[in-house]
Amino acid sequence: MKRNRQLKIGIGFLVFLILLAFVGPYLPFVDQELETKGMLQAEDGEMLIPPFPPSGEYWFGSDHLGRDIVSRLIIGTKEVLVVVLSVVLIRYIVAVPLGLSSYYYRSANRLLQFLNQVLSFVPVIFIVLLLINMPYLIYSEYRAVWMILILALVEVGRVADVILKQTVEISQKPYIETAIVSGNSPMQILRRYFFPQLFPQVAVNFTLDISRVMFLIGQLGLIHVFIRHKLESLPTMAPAFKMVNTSHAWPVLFKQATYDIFISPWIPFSGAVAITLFVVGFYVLGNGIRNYYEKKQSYL
Amino acid sequence: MVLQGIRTILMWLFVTVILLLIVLLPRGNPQVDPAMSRVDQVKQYEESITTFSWKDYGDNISSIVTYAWENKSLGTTKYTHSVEYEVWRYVKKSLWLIIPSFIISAVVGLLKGVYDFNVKTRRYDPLGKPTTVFFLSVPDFFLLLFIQVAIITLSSYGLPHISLYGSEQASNKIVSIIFLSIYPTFYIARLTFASLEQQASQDYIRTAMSKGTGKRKIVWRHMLSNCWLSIISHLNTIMLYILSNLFVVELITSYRGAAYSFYKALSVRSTFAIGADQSIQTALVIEFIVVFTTIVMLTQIVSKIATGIMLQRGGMDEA
Repeated sequence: MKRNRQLKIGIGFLVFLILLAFVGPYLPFVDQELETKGMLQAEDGEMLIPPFPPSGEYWFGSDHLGRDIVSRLIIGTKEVLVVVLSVVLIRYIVAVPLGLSSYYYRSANRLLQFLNQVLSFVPVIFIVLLLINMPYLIYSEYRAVWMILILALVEVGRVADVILKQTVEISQKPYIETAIVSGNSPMQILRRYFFPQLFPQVAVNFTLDISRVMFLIGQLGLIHVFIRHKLESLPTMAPAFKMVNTSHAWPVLFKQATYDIFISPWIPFSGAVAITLFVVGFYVLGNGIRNYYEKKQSYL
Repeated sequence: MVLQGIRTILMWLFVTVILLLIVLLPRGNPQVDPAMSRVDQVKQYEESITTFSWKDYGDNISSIVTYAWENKSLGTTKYTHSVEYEVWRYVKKSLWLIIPSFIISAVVGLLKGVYDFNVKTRRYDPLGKPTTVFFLSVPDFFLLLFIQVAIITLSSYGLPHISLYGSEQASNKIVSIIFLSIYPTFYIARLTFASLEQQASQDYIRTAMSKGTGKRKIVWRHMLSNCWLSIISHLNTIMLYILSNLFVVELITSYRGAAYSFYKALSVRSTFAIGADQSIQTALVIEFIVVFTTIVMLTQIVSKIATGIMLQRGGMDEA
């Protein structure tokens, strides 16, 4: 850990993020209510209408309803963390057993290869777009859960394949033969000889995947696909509904990006900065963990 | 090789059919009885739209198949063009982005990887590996927004006007191609670098050096010819990434291409009255799906053929 700057920065970032998610909303400069403002009087008496540009009071400016963007970002942190972590967790809960069992069983291996071949024809965004516009999902109360499941499962094949390759690589090392000769059962070999080697690699990939998922969710935000929405009744003669975004997750700031970029670039920009920091932070953390274990192994 | 090609085509057929079956899932009957109360109308609407019926599904599939069979077309769009005309028009525009950025990312990425490898021993070279890591870790949509804002801001300080939005002018194409090829380029660069690094300690390099071969020749002739295989095996990933990112780039730069119109054809309205149908422009969506998966299939076939040629040549390299 001594010279591992990446690991230090990564862990520092992780601590910062967790603090931001849990303590952040109670900081003095955070507007917990996210108060909307219709108008603001500048010091020279000029009237301003939202979105307000960045200033001493609004560090990153405000959104179209006059809500402080810094507060929005901080309040949204927890949601972002929960969504991204649950996507990656579900993905690994499915992928690790799949990858390991495809090392032991030929049928699982066939399934995995088939899955990967199928997915090698379709871009991820494509699948998400196809499924997300189904009326079943638009109306479902559990739309967010479905979204998370879809995002998690689209890349299960890739992760399982990586795990399979790593398992195969470990299995070719001489100490596995020693383990077999000394009379371990397959389960014991898995537990005592495979897991200690696999664990660091899975940890690295897990961290890097967090960064990838955030990246993907940001991309989806840019094409107006969000994790959560709510149907709100409209006050019209004939009954009508509108999909409303109630979430404060960061990608929601991209909602009008193509339009905002001319008049209020700080709105999509602050979302992009937050996402970028998140992506880079976990990327650095992943590389730090990798360096940590590689060094440790080379000293043996 | 032929067998592999046939397998790829069969797989493509399978995937496309599955995707089409997803698209053709019934979207319910939106009719409501206007005599009922508002609450009941909403209830009926919601229920009829979210209940799945096999009969509707069957009707959906059979009607589109018979229509296509009888008319040799999937109908007309709301702009009264034939669907095929419209799809081809947009796909042509998008191919202007996809093919150049694919080639650029492969070629420039390779050069960048070799450059990174050549300068890796220098103590300080910000153009080397640090740049590659930077562009791989920072999301490209951030760079995209950043460049757009920078150009817009700079144009008020005397930068000549550059058209950023639309698809008519050459600068639109160039900007979109650059946006599309950022990530794949550095992806290939890292791949090339890792592949070169792996070989750097092998015996044949020492042999070549002991015979007085220059470093440049060793890298370009000997080491690179061993890298091709791993680069070619990642071409498909590159293509998938470009297609994914095409949605983002076309939407942000208002480039009216295939991904943009696919997105439009697929999306449902975010505000809708009870009784409005939740349908998408199925015919357009179907043809775009076929086109997109075909592009991926062609990439796969090309990379299979290239792999075959590489393997055949094997160790008989003229050097």
